[in-house]
Amino acid sequence: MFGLALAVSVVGIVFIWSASSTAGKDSYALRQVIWLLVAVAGYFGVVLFGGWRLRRVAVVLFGVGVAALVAVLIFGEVVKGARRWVVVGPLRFQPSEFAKPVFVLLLAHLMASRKPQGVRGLVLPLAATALVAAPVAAEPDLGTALVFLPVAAVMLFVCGLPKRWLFVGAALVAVTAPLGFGMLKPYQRQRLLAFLNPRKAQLTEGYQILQSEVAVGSGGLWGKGLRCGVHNALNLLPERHTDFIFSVVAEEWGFAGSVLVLCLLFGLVFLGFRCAGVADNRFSAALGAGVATLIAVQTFVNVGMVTRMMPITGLPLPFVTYGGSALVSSWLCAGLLSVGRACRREPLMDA
Amino acid sequence: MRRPRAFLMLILCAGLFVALIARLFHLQILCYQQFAEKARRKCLLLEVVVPRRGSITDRNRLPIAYDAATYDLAVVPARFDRLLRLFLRLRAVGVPDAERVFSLIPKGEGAAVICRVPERKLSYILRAPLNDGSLFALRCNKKVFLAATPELLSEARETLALAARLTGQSADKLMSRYGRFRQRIINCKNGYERRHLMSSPYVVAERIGRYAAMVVEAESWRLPGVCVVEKKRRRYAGEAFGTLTGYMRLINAEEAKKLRAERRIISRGYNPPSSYERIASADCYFWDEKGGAFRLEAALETRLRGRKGVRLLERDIEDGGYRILGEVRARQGEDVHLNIDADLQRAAYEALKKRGFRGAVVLVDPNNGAILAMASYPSFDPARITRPRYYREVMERGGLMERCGGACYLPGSTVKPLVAAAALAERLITAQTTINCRGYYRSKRAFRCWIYPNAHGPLNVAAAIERSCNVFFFEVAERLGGARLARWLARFGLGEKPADIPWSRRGFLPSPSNTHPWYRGYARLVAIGQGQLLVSPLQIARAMCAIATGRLPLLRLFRETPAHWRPLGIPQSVLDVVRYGMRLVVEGRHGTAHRTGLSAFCAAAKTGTAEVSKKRRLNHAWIAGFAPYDAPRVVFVVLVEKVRGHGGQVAGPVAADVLKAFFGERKRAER
Repeated sequence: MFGLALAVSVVGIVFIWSASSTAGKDSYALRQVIWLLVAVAGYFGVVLFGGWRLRRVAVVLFGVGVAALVAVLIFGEVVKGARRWVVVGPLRFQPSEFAKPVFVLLLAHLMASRKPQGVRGLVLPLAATALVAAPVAAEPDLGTALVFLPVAAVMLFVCGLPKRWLFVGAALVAVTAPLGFGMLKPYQRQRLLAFLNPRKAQLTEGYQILQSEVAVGSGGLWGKGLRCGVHNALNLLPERHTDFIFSVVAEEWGFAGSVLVLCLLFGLVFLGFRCAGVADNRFSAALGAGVATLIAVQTFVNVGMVTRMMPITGLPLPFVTYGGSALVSSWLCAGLLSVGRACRREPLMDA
Repeated sequence: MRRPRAFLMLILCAGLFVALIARLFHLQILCYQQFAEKARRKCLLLEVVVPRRGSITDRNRLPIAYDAATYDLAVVPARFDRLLRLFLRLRAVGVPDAERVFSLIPKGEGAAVICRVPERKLSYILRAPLNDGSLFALRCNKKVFLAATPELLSEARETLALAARLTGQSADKLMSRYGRFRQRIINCKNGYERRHLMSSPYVVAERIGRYAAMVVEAESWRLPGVCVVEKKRRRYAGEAFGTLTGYMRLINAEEAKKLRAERRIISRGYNPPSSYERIASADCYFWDEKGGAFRLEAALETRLRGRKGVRLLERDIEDGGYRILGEVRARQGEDVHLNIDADLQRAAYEALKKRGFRGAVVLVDPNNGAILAMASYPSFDPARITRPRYYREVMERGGLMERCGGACYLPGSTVKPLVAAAALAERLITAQTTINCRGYYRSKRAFRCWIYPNAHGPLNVAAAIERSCNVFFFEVAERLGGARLARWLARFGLGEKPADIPWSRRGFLPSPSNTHPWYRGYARLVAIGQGQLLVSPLQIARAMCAIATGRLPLLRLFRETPAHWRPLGIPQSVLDVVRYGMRLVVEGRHGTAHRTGLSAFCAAAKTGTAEVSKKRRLNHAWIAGFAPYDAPRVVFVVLVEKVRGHGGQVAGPVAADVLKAFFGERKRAER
């Protein structure tokens, strides 16, 4: 578990070095190493803190998380048209990243407290989802906001949501999706259209999609070798150390390397669901399912975007993408997963 | 397994990952070739090598038109105008009337308060390059104000003023020019374009001179954002050569359209590697390239401009170097040498200009057909002709016409020596034959002598040339007949291209076969240079060469044209008679060019006065001849368009001036 996460993170740092040194910014990899140390510390903090104590502070943490999300809306720094960052001294945080583990923790806590059946069992989890998704969507960061929905859904499902609610949920999604498109901001709509027809927007939104696709495709089976990617070395792919890091992986390590990274990530997902499957308490099950879904969905959306299966969203690739907030958040999730695997039924608490 | 649903979800997620891997398989394994090719193409780089445009030089290799490196003073707004940066930031955060920053005048040492700004925008406004303390925030009653030191406010202005002082330009002019550009940046809506404008050099003063350019480079440490841009500009030897060299101008819309249809337009910046073949195989233009527009520059365009070279480079990602995949070398523009003597050309032009005569002067070396000078007035300065105001001025003054070979005129009496030679060669008359001039030929109404109502009396052929008697030549024409006359004039090169000059005209030589109506007596008109006969000064010069040397040369403007003669088939004795007649024109008591200053050079000549407007009494005044008489070294032709007065009177002094320059030059050269 720890080994898997560490392996993915190290691969991530290698490629951040590869991607940023060609742009003349060598300090990124170093910074990421420091962040990795912080993140690993956070992981052990969570593990040592222990499951049952975490449950006790879950509500408080969630409150802090939502407060931070609201705060970023007011005090946040505007970067590329979105208000996603909080500046505290020399550091910059992305509260929406930290909201992910906190959200999983709270939902697990709620579900452990009450089985998600009947209206009363559902109200609190859904309210929590809305509470966290709304400010994120207002940043605007629709991609991250939408991640919360499948996470909540899978957690509820695994913890025993009655089947009829599934149909209701599916119907709701089907109805709101077309309405949702009408409410999108112009840039979001452009991204969607650029995804559908990238050649039309070749100089703006479509550029990255096409470049990334060529970068991935030209990797071949074994790739071109570290720092020898054309798109990487010629600086043809903007944002390649953050959201598009996977295209660098695919170009320089080829199909083999990409599958390796995906397998490592799937290993984490597998561990999460196995934890959910075998756990003897709902808290562990919910944590496992939540973390696994979080990693799976983010991976799918990010890699899908890089390979032109999905439109462009700002979702990071867990453990790999450059950025302190994302890395720490991923490791906190890993910590939660560890905690979930370690938790055993305590009759007193689960009564 | 306690929760089969978790297993179900695991399967679902596994499905997602399998989908990703399938997509990767599709892109990286199945479509590998296609994408690898695309990626490889991105490593390709096309380099266009621009050749030097060839120069045009005179017979002594003095430049007449050449490319010279000139230096422009340019500024990069992003690197020296931080006030503009401040303005853009203030506008971005929504400060009303941010334009004020430009009009703030620093007073003494104190900082100037600019405006109030929202606290949370401060970090944005105070970012580099405005983070050196010259711009700071003042807090007062919980309000935040932005203040700037006087240095910041006057920075751009002082840099420009310093640059102006160092280069000897007017600071106000630079400032106003830059101010306009700054306004353009401010008004620019497109962010990309604005960034481009801000970070690329903008020329504020052209042609600052080599020394000033050097000073700017040396003082660059205190001139941030000021740079020197080298630009090749076409230089010309001056007005005297304008009609000869032509000029350069941007390719116009029509040409651009044609070039685009032929796919021969390329970009100065980036060209896709796929255009390698195109650039290698065809002569391509930049869309803002200047091309030769007129006369020599246009006629020699393909030779002068050379051919662009192109190099296809592939970047080696591993070591960062370049591999040459293909190369077509640039062909440098050829230098073209003319037979023109620049000093003579200037002298000839001046001779016309100082009298204000519209016309042409041609000087030819009869021994080899080299054109020594072909001046035409009015002319223009090719370096300035593309400026609209100057262009309009030139057009009002008389346009761009080249009058030596590009225009044809009635020759008047200048053809009489040719007719005389024809008649003598045909033995229709001899040197002693006299014809009585009564002032008119047959009838008093038509075919009068120019001296009518007076008369010349009996004249032999030399005297008839001396006095330019019409009646004598009417009679000669009558004896020759139209067809024979035309054949003889054609033998002297009338009606055909006289020179290796592409734009030289054929003129028009009337003969019974091409003229309608060819009535009886039309030959008489032709024999005195009237009717429909049209010749260019170059043609007359060529005919004079033939009379002077006995063979008809091809006039040569270009050094590389081989000398070429055509035998005239006229006995030397005949030519001697005609030459003697022409000698009398200058020396004789009754000569039409008597006392015009030509006798000082032992010249032989024939004048011509072609009436073009009887009502306004305007004539084309001609004089054509050679000097010295016994061993001709130069043939001269002077034409003055539409003046009052006779050929000898008007054109004679011009010819004298030109000959003076010629023999003065020669004497100096011989010494």
